[in-house]
Amino acid sequence: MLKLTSRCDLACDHCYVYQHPDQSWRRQPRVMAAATLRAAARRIAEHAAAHRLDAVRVVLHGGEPLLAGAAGLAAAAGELRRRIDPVARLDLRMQSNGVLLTPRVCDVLAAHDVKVGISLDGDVSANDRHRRHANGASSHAAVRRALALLRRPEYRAGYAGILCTVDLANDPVRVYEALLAEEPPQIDFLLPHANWDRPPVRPDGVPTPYAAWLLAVHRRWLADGRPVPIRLLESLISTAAGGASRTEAVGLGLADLVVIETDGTFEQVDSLKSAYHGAPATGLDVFRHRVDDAAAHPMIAMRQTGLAGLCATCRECPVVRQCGGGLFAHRYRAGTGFDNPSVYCADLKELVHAMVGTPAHAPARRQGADALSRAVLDDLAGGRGTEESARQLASVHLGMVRALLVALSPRAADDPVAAAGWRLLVDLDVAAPEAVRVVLEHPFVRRWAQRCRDGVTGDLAYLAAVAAAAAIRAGVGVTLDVPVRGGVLGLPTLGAFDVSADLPTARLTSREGGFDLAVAGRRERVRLADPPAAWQPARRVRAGGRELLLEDVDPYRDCYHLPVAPRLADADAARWTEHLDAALRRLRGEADGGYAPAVGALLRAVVPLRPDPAGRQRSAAAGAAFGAVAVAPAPDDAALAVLLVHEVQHLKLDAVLDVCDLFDRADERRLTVPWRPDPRPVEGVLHGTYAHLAVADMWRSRPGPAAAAAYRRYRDWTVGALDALLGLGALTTAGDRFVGRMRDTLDSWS
Amino acid sequence: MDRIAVRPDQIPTPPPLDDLRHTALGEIPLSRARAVADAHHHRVNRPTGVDVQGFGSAI
Repeated sequence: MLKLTSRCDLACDHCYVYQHPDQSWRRQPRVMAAATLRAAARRIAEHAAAHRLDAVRVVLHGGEPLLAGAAGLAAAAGELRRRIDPVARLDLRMQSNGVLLTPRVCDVLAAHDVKVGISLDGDVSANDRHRRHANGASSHAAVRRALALLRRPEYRAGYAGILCTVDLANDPVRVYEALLAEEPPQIDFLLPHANWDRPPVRPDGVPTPYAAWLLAVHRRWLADGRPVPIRLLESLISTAAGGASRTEAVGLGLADLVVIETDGTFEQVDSLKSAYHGAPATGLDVFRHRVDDAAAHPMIAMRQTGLAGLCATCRECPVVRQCGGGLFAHRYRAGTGFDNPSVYCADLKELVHAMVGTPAHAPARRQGADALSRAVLDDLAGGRGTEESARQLASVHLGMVRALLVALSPRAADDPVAAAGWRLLVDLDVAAPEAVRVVLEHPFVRRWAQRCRDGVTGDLAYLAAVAAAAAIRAGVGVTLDVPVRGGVLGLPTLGAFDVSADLPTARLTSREGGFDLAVAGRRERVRLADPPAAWQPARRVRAGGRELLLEDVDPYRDCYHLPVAPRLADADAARWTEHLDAALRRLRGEADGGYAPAVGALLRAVVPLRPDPAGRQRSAAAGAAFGAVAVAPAPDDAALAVLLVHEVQHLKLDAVLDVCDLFDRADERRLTVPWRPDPRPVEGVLHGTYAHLAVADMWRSRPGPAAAAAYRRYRDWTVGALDALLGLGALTTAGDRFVGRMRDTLDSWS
Repeated sequence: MDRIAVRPDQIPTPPPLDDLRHTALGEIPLSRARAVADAHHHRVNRPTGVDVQGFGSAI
């Protein structure tokens, strides 16, 4: 944790940095000096290299790190990437109150691949209970603006989640709903910092109020189908099943965090500021000491001993493997120090007991008759697959989208814009089914519908945009209200219109070859063949002898956990088209042309990604955006061809898994694989082997020693992982046959 | 009788979820739609579910 600044632009009265016993912030420089930053980055890189770490996580923190400004953040992130990227994968993050987040800052964060967590305590009344400016003014609107920025397609990959501090005075379900409405990829709840000397607020007569508060959230979260990961709850579920915790608040995981203060001093975890003045201090600094010296500090070393580092009461407690003694800072009592249970012990125990029986995974239901035939599955399992098999997968996708829309339709009835959109879509499906099919097959319509289904977005009104796009395609004249998000009206498969007004909806009238738009008293006519400047048409390009979308405008294209490129300049789009054309033509002659049929049948859209800051090749596929592949500019068409094949393999397997059970979903074991630093679940290993099988096949067909070396590497990776899968006992009968056929393909090459 | 015998295993198998493609949206039973939509939801939304596959490599 790197403290870029020591001051904050808010004055939250529950903040452990300023409002608790440790007041060391007063002697800290306001901003970390460049020399201190360089020394810190050197120390981190030195540590990563010495221990051969695959990955290092650095969290930019404060105070408020945004006080460093866009230039300061760019300098810090740049310095850290320069020093650490060459020796380890740098997972760079920032925790912020979000108040000063601007598009310019977001551009800096996206360029350096910094993921941002935002602190928010709920709706306006809940949040402003503590999170206020020094003059008492609310911070809520500014924080929500920051979250809206992070939801923009070009920044969403950097949206890490929301951190919320529990306050018993706030209604738990209202808080949960307010957080969920911000569409975070993850939520975490923190118990307010307290200890035995400064105990938490407890209403009279309620023995475990914090457990009751969190259990109310837990009940609602389960009833909603777990629409978003909640780190504290999922960690307790995981530890109950013998798995790992993802938070230091619970579980017996080892402490692997050290703080570097603004002046370069090493400190222990900063929540210790809530214990006593000077509690986090180590007396060490980045100029004179290594990270290893800080890790050897007795208090940090003690936190790396797991169960042995806990007090006798905790060691004998039956739930210790779940709660892990709670957060270290919450154990403090003058006299005995940290050798105590947590001051939240009773709440944690109640939480653990009440959560017993929560399934480790959401239960699955599948209709047995909806699987692929054995012949199609066998064909796909060989790696390549015929065009007919690929068409079956495309049919699966269309069936899934239609199911999703029907499943959403009862909820649409509650929203007048969505309800009108649904009625129109139902009518068009009879009157103009081809136009509806083209729009529904668009990868990001499914992505949007999936997010609505999962409760991640409440943007049901987009259903009207889906229907309007189909009506325009069909040349049917209708009038309906369509949603405007961030001043932009998106029409899937067609493009986006910049209405330049902060309105929830605009009125659209479709007509042959375009539409009219009435917004804020203005009337705009859009002829798709000769559009006005405010219309950004979807880029329909010809590549490899067929039509593709070069997708740089759809609002739901940002689903890859990687930053998508903003709207391309025309010259860049022309370069992309040329490049894609060359790559797709290449596929016809490589690996016996074996991957061209499936790529041709399935690939509908290519989403340009921002280049990787470290210059690595970058691509991605998402199951909920079937038919689209995201890719950063590749060095040449040969590299791009491999990336396209790689990602289309993921799409193929995603569609297979939509309708076929290849493995036991209850099996949570993970396997170490050679292509990733982190152990992967069975599904991840299946995906990796299926993609690498094709990549090996591609390299196998290319001439030269470099291609031969690449072929051997991917083949060996795949062989090892397939054998591990076959020996794991986690595959179903169909999965065993599928993986066995992949292995047969590899064997046929030798 | 003028008919060509076709063995059951030679009949082309329709793709999965074929009914959802060929039934008008307004006539698809809600229970059927929910069962299918839930399958993907439950596959992805679990601790070891995989939704996005990212690739980054210097190779």
